[in-house]
Amino acid sequence: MAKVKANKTPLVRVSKRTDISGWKALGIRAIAFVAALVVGGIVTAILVEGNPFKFYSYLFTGTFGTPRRIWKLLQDLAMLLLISLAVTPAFKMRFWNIGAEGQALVGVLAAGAMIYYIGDSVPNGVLILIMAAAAIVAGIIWAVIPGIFKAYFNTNETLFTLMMNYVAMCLVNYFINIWVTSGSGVLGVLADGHFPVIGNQPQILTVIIVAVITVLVAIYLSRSKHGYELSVVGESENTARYIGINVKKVIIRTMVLSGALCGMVGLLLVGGIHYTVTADLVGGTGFTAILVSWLAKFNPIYMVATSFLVTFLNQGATFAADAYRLGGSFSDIIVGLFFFAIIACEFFINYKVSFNLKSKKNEAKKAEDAVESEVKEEVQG
Amino acid sequence: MNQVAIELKKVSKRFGEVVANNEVDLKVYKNEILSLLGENGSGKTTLMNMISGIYFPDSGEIEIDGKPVVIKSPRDAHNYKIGMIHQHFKLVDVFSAADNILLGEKMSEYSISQKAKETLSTLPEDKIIKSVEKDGKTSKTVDFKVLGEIALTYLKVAALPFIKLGKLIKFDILAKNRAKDLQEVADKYGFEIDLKKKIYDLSVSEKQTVEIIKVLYRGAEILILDEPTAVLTPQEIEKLFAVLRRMRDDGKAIIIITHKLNEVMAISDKVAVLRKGEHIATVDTANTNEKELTEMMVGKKVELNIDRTEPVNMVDRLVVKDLSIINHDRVKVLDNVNFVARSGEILGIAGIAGSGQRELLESIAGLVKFNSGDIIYNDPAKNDEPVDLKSKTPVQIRELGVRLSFVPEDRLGMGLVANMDIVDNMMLRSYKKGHGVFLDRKSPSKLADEIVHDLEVVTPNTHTAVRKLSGGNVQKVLVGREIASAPTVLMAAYPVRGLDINSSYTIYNLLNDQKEKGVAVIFVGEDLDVLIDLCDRILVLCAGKVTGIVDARSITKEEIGLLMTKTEVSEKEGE
Repeated sequence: MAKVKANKTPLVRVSKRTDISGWKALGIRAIAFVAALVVGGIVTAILVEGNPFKFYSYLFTGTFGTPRRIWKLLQDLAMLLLISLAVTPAFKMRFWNIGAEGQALVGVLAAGAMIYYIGDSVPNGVLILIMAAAAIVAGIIWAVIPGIFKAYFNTNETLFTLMMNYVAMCLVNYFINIWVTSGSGVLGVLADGHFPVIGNQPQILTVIIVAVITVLVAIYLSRSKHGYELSVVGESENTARYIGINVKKVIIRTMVLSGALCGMVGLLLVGGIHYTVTADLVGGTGFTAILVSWLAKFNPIYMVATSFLVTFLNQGATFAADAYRLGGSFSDIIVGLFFFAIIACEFFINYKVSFNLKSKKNEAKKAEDAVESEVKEEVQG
Repeated sequence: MNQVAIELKKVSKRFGEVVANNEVDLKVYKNEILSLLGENGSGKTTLMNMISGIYFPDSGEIEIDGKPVVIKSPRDAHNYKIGMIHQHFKLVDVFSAADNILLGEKMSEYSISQKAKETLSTLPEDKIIKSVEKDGKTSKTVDFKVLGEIALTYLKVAALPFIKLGKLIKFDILAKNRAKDLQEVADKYGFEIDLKKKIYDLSVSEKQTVEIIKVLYRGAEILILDEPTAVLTPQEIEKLFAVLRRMRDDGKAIIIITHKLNEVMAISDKVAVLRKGEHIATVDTANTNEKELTEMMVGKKVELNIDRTEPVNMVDRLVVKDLSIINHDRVKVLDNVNFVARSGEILGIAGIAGSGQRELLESIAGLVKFNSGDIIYNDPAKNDEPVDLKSKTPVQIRELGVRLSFVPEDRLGMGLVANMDIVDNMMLRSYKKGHGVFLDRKSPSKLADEIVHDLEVVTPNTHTAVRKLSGGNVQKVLVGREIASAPTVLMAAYPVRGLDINSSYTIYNLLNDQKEKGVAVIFVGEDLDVLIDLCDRILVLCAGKVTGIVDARSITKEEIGLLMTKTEVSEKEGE
């Protein structure tokens, strides 16, 4: 008989969870969040001289310290949320659109171009409407091209949408080169096409628009026939065929929606926030949005929470980095740690890990049962 | 008295809340075929997976040849000479049968670290620098002989990885020679198979043969077969049984998982019955009968007869004329199929898996385009006016007022959406009703409640994802939905596959109800007993051709079995 190593049972046993209560899953995520913060603190302690515990207070003062910071937080939150909402219908359809960055960027370009070319000749109100139409149409075009190719030729949408990002970036640089004649290579603040300011806070309009869109997308996904069709297509294309859903039509329609929302992002960035055009105006949120949408399980309401967490950490850590006189990469480290912890904890939500320590086995089991029954009582209560 | 090959002692396995196996004791002897019998979900497969190293038991012991063992991985199982033949074959299509068998075979252990230790232990103990006394003075010189030896030893160690590589290459090159040994194994047990053929050229039963030879070649003494007969024709089953008997006489211990009682009686020496994860009894096959086994299996007496009424008011509802389909691989999957489905009767479709049953139903449902032929529906709402269904999509068919329901073979992948709850799955058929852009969840929700109540679906509530339901309940949800639209034609592909006896009978009764209501029912089945007892007529498909449409009341199983393999037989004769 062949050799079999020592007569041992495996120490760690991993088994798939069939079901987990919502509270327990939330608890695991909370633990992961806290763990990310603790590790963030440790990283800070290694990197800085002085009191590392101040890191945590910086997180809060950097985000909630002054009304200005709160407004900044809300604005960034709104933009991240909007672009996350934009990718969500496609994701729900299992169409991995990682081109939100480029789709928003062509929106930026279209809105900027309208200001640049016709800003002088039409009244501001009309200009804003034209900008909106142009940005949305541009976003749709950028999103629907991969959609059409997917529907008719089954091309890989991930690669396609990714490549479209670079095309968008180059297009923006090309137009900036045409528009900017001074040689600085930077387009200054454009004079026209600024959105109206409500109550002295330029951010309010953005927040209101995004709040309305969030509700609309949530309703679209859960209550409309279109939303139902796209989830059927996402879950099982065979089922969609079986009940007679036109899969091609649904793919293209959903990408039109996705692109239109990305175009909105570009419009708000130009008309409501930056009033200019640069190639990094979207600033990578198109990619962050993928994680935000995914972590929220494609639910627009949960997405408010996940985009808040990301924005909060990003802004807080940026503030802490300034306070400690560290570079901008510091906030990237903190946000990266957060994503790492949150994604890693999904493992513990999907799988149950038990340690096989013989002497402690029974105790552990009892404790586990106790916890489970507690959780059950909570749920029932 | 035979020796015990493997013994399980109080083996338990839990999956979350579900107890799959509860303190199961099982003994399997050499020179013996043991049938493992139980309803779906009784824990048969879990138990076997623990023996073959896929799962690890929560508690309990496994003994092989009287010694306690730990089987942590399929490799451990292989080392203990346990071989499992899975229901779904794990073969590489583009490789030859012999290559598949040799695939993954390991050459004998060659441990570099161990060899290195051995080599290093031969290092000379003399020192490199030796003191030489000369003229009363001691001077130190280097002993080149010792130095050379030491250098050589280290060189040998450094060469070990290359030696291993060389052995590996040699091992792979010689694989061709070993193919001859394989044919010997095959001939020994009387397998009729050419191992040089590619897997994609093999029939299902030949693929199974390859799997069996694979485990035999790897020296398995304990063989586990998971529902091996599910995909075979009666003739092939006989051949398989002959092989199993030969292996038994050769001293192997064989465990066979099956649902079919007649096979249990035919092949096994002993029967172990599992029910709800518990071992009920192990009995000698000679001292028991089908009725007793069924009682042990289901725990209570079940009526084995299906009530079949005489069809009344038969009208030609669906007429299929000269239907042919050529698929993407340019294979003629349906070849000139002609038949009529009549209202008020159940038309059974028999055939080996993949004989064109799926394509036939899908082309009627409008999912597959067909190359030639016609499908005519006689609409009862319009005085049996004929409607041509050729090149119509499912939506167009529905818009024509054709009330066609279809229970596809792939329940969770086609008929239902696994991650959606029961209500949303009810909506699949009806969500387009009404002109608004919003969904109406009220009527689907009511329908879901009705189905859960009427068909006794076991579920916490109607907002449970259907993937969390057991196989029988999933099927009740699907069939319930399809019947709810008051069809005039009901097609069901393998509606009882994987279902336990009670759920199966629920489905049979539902189909019979529909028949009595005047629906034309088309039932694609695999269990010939059921086809004969349930249907009025049986259409037999073989390789896309209709080889016969027979009266179910007067046909025998053997006759159907012959029809199912008709072209194959005639082809062989032609060769």
